[in-house]
Amino acid sequence: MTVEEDQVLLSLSGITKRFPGVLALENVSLDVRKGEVLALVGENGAGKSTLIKILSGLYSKDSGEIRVRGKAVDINGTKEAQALGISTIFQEPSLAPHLSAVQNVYLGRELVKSVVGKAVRAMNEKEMYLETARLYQKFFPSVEDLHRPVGELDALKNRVIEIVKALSVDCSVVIMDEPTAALAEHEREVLFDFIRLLKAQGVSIIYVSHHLRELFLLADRITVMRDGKNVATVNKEDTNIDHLVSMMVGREISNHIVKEKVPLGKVVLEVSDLNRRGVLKDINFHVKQGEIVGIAGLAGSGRTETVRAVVGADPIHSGKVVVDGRPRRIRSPRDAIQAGIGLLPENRKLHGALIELTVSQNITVASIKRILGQRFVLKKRKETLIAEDYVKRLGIKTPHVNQKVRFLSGGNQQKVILAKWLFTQPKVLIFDEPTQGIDVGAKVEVYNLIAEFVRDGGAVLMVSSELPELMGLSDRIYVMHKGRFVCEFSREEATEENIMMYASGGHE
Amino acid sequence: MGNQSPEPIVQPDSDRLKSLRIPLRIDGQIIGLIIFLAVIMIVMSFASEHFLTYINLLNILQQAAFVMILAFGMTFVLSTGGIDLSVGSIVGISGGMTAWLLYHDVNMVMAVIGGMIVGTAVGIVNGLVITKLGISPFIATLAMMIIARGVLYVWTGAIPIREYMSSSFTFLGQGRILNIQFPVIVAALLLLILLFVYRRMRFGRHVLALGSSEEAVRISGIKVDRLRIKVYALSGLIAAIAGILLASRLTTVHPEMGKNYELEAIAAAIIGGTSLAGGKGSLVGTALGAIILFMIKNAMNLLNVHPYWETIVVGVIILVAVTVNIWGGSARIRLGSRKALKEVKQS
Repeated sequence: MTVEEDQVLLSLSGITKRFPGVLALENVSLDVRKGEVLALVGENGAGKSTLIKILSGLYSKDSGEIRVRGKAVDINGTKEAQALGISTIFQEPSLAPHLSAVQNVYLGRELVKSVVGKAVRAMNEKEMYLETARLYQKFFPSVEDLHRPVGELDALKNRVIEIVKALSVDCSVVIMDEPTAALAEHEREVLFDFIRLLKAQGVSIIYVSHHLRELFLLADRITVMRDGKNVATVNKEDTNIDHLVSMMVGREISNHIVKEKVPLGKVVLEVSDLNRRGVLKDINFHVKQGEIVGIAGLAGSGRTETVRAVVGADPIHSGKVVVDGRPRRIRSPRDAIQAGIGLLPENRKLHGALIELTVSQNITVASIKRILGQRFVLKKRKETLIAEDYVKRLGIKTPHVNQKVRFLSGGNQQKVILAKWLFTQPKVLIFDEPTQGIDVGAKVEVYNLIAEFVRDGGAVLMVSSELPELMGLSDRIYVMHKGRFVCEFSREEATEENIMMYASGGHE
Repeated sequence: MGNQSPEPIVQPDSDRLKSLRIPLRIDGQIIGLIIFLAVIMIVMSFASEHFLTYINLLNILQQAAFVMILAFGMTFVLSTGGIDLSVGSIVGISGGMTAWLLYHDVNMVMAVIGGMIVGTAVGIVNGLVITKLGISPFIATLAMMIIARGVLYVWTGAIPIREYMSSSFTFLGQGRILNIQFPVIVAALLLLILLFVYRRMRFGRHVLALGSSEEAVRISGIKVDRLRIKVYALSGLIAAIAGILLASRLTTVHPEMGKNYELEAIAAAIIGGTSLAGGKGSLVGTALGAIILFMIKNAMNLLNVHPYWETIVVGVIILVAVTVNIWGGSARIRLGSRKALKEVKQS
């Protein structure tokens, strides 16, 4: 396929970047055309982030050539990238939470005017406000949020403000790294509309995402990266998810997660009349031995709050928890551990892993008594043996068990957390977004580990925003809406459509 | 600005003078501090007839002025999420430098500039150590606090510097304009200038942003290291100004001069609503915080409370102020998220 020269806005050829010991990018070439959405996919570590950072001026390339509108350029620093019309919206929120939208949009290039001579220059708040408001109103009609600290605004508005920030430098290429990461399903739809709006205005978009389904809604072409190389660039029409996944991982893996049937045992966890004023209302559910029960719902529907309440991490106003037929008073996560319930929380880095501690310390931290010798001295040797055993069983990729968890990939961090909970010998494990931010290959491994735990007689409660994952793994699915369980589906009954209908309140 | 309603978007054309205007943000925090001040004043005016007099109130301001000036610099540092423990020692060493130069018959203007250069230089070293060696601000400035104090001891041989006063230098610490002590006037002028820098100039905006999210600042193409060095240099310069005024006020530079001032400066800033975590600060609040600190000391003095009690009361007030701060802050954020939730539900 040939493309006319003037259609190509940005062209990379032979980009190579080496870090000590790693070849992060090897001879990467790609073209971005005017007004297209080019999706960039690949597993973690495939080199997407490095490529983005080179384009946005945070890293410098070792070799290769970048051309903007046919002209060879060097990009040293974010300001130079902006001057060339390339703006980046990073995966991690890059707004200062205490500052307002206007202040964030103009951070680092505030408009100024002279006050006393040329030397004393005050910021021109009015101009900055007007321009921000003009761009913001393309997305939201109301400008009343522009003066509030962005930390008080929701995730969608934060994303929009980042887009406004990108647009305010008059850019022709916007790079978006996982822009939907913190967004709920319906907010994603809104964001997609905004992206289509940008595209219609002739802005090119490089869209990086793990959510392959999203890409098919948005992208014109898809570039697949693997191990620092670009494997292929394909038109959306010429590919499908299975094809993309196989190119990403370099091997065929089944995209259809189906949990094998395990004979169900007695009820292990039963929760009744759980209430937390203003948050949760009359929650009732049970989980049987050998069963995976899913909780579906939009962000803010109370899914995370439910599981946190069950393990005593949040206060409740009423509610009964029965584990293995015995009523339990659970007022803190410690009580929950003793009752045999473990929670693998949503935000790995914040709540799940102690990233500055080693793999072995992380694995034993929740059941420290079991490696305690006489006189309160930890049995180091025993700890190491236990950790090595789990590393082998769960396939945790780490050079040794004394490695700090910070240096492991997301998928391996998740496995370390899983090992920690397995070591507490739980009856029930609760997973909150078990595969958030980890790559395709590692996801499948996590699914297998969950399935294995259930096969060995455990019970699982799982919260997930990814419906295919939830539907593929769960025996039953509860749907939450506004702090209530509004519906229960068996695996056979569950379809994406009917779950979404209840989750979005469409049944009311 | 936070309270100003955003619509209509355009306000009538603003001229040059107007852009010099400093936005006085009267938020709940400031009102709370003013109410607190008012309560102390009302209670004290009944408790002691000497309290509510022009002379006594001016005295409180005079006593508060030195710590207040230090606390202005501290407010900038705290806003970046840093801390500067060395300012007390900078007070000593730069006051000492000015006194020493005067003693050797150097022209007063040059002596004052010499003191300011020393303070700024110490601040720049702080900034370099923090940014280039990657040492945390707490440790870097703690070390500098000890080193600078040690230098002062070695330099003076622990003998106070005396006999440097001249009539013009006396004015800095003891003179009056319209019957108001000169240090108070310096503090007030600094407040106005720094308010402008903090709220209306790019530097102030970047300082707040740095404390809020260093990543955001970096991505926006701001040179983070340079910004941080500037902030510590500013803190050093401001501490030097306080030190020079104090050298004039005390007529003797004792090697212990300025000791523990850094803690009082931090206390004033925190009472005034500046967050140790960065991203949030108020110079007006800091000024009120310093006044509250010294008004309480004055009140207890007038009531003949034993001075040992003073530190206990000051400590409790810091706790109360920070508690009110945190609770107020979290209430606001809760409100914000609730509103966001409502909007999501509606859409």
